[in-house]
Amino acid sequence: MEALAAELRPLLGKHGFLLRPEHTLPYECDGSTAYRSPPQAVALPRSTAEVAEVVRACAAAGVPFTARGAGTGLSGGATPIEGGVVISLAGMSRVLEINPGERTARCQTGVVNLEISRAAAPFGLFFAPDPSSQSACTLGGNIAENSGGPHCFKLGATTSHILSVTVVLDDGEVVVLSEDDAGYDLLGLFVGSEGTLGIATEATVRLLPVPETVETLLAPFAGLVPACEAVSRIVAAGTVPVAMEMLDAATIEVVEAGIGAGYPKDAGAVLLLELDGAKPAVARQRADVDRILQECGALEIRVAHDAAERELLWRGRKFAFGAMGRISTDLYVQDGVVPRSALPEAIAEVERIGKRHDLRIANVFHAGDGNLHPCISYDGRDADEKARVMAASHDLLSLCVRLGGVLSGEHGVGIEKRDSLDLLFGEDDLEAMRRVRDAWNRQGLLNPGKILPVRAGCGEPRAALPDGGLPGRVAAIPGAWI
Amino acid sequence: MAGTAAPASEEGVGRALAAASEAGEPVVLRGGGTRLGLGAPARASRIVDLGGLSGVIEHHVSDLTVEAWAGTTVGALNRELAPHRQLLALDPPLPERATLGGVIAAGDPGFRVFPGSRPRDLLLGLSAVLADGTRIRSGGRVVKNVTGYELTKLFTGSLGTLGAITRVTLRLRALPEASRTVVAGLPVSDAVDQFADRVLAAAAAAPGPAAVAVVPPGTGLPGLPEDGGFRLAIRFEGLREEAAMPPEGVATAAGGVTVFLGGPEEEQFWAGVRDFPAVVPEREGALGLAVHGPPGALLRTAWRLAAFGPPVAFPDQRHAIASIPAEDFEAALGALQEEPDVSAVIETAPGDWKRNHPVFHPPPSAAVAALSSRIKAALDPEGILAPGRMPF
Repeated sequence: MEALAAELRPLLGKHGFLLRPEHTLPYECDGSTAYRSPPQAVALPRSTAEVAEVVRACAAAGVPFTARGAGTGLSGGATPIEGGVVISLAGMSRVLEINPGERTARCQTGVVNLEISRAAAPFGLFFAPDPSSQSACTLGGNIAENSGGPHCFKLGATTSHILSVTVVLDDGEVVVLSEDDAGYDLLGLFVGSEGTLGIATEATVRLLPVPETVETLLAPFAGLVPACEAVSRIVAAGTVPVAMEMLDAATIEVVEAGIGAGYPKDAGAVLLLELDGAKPAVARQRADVDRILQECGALEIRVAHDAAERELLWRGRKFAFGAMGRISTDLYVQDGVVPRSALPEAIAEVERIGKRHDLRIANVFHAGDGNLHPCISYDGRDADEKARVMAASHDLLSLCVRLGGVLSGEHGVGIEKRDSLDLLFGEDDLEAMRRVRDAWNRQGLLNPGKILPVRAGCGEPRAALPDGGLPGRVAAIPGAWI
Repeated sequence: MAGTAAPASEEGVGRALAAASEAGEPVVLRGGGTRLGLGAPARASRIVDLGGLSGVIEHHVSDLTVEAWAGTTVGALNRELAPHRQLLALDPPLPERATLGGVIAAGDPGFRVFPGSRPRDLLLGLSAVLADGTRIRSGGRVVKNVTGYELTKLFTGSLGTLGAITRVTLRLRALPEASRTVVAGLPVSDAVDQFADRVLAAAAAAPGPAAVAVVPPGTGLPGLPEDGGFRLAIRFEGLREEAAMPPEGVATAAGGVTVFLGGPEEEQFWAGVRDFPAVVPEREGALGLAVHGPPGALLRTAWRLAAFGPPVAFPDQRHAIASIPAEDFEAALGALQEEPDVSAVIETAPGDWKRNHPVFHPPPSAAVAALSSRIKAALDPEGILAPGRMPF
């Protein structure tokens, strides 16, 4: 590592290559703090060329390297599980150009998600992917994880909004992958590959026009099951709200205690729903949605009258996870997806799983997509409780697969779910993925130990997971996002 | 040619490919045969026809998703979905012949705008048989999924070079209640920059369009009387209120006469636009050129290519198709080179033209070509599936 430092410090500066443990320690994990593994060094490049130099040097020295944006990820994607060098993109945070005519923005990938929409706002445009962490997470992290967010129900996840990326490959070579390229959709494969195929340093993203009207509704229900029925019926009716988010009684309780978003405390569930578009179309959608909500037993339909009220309704949703820090020391959040019609069954079963393992499970989720986020509050110091969380976690993932769903909708596989991938895929499926990964990641130095189950004895050392594979744990502090 | 196999099952596809691998004989995969000529010429001594794998496996009505065999045609599937008032919004040329697997392998973007009708946005999961007969699955049947590598994206547009797509799960949408298209004549006098700016301004003035296409004069499509100018067609569809959107802004920005199309006339118009790439090869001695790039550069290129033959452009899809006489190829290349951000692919060409001319303009960078070739080798190490077809 000293040799790498000697090679790279003339390029990056003394403060651009960190070696001392007190400097590298903050990079030992991302938002899923159950997995910790400090890097030996942290590089802070300021340009694509500098990232390429760092990668070239790591590749030549045979040192693993892991790219990092803001470290808000929830599956351990940015955690350097096998040590090596963390390459932080934090110093590459500029919006380089907004092209309003073509509705695109060219950005460095260390830019914070929300900054793109801020820069586009004067042109009546915005960047659609909106993970709850959007005030902190970076574009590069969104690209790596193919991040979603409430509004991807209608507008699609990050992959639909990336037109091209500049990528530093495993040997330091720089390529541009574009939607306009002939040949394989390398861009489509790259987005969501969790930093295992290359490091994105710059991207051109699609911007969308700000809709003429937005209407935000809150519908409380007696329980989750009728609320989920309403979601299924809205989807089946072909109405396309821009977002449909659900919070259960346990979540409402902590949100109201922590933030005070004005959700009715006696409701069994609330459905937060947003419609957008031109005025007559929104009026019509509103009429359709109101009818379904009433038929499904909504206790009332509350409408945000202005931007401040809308902001407050969304605040309750976006900071729900942070608010859970009030009720426990540790929080485990899952990210499984079920077909939307299976939501009522899935929710009923999540409750049974909680009871079976004597755990408190709160539900806050992207209902329109069928993307569940069961949140288990627990005390990490209690070994018995931790074991029950792990058992419940396995039951929850199995449930999603049994109902025709998948393990992760937007948080990624990372370290957390890599050894559960065989619940969904057979060995031949995984082998095909492995070969495709190895076509990009030839020495296995790019973010090793992520996505695919690690095979012992095949040249890939199996990294020891802390506590033999504890489920992802989110720092349970107000201000943690999911 | 050693002949054609037409397996009726996934296992049959596996056996046919394994046999070809064993014999070391290259294979071309065939769906409906509507886009078989895409890419560079492929070497093949066997054809495996996937049209026998046909039919809906499961229609998840309330999820708006469907799983079907890849040999099902888009037209047949949509007829089956219609009684449920649902639609697969893929708009490939010749949908009565085009198969689901073929449309995905070809990657044609269709005419609907974002978040519209591109195979990459609608394909949720697939099964495929690799060259050695191994069956693999990728993706799933839910609408949001980041579980594992996106091999679905890799297969989209792979032109049958990575594996035989056997089943697909696709996202559906509700059948629109209503639709209406406004066709605006663009001034004949517009020079290249003015033309591109005008189209972008007029398209931007349209509130939530479902499709935007620029069509050349002389196509015989319904709409405006011929005056020798381009037309801009914008379709509004969905709820009745969305279809009835007042497009005054479009008319003003387009600066010409506008007419509305609805009913059978409207369907005929879009069917003409949709089928254009497949109709190109029927013109004697014509090349079918697909152009990709940012909207402005794409429109300027379309304007320049109109000197040689009719182009149809979809600015939101960053995609245009032009038909040009083969003898004008060099001159057309000159027009392409005026815009450094656009790339072009010769999709269709007469006879053995493609054997003697480069197909990709410009060819991919050496690094991208090397990467692509490693991916090909990862899934088809013996190079059995349509070798030579991709740009590397």
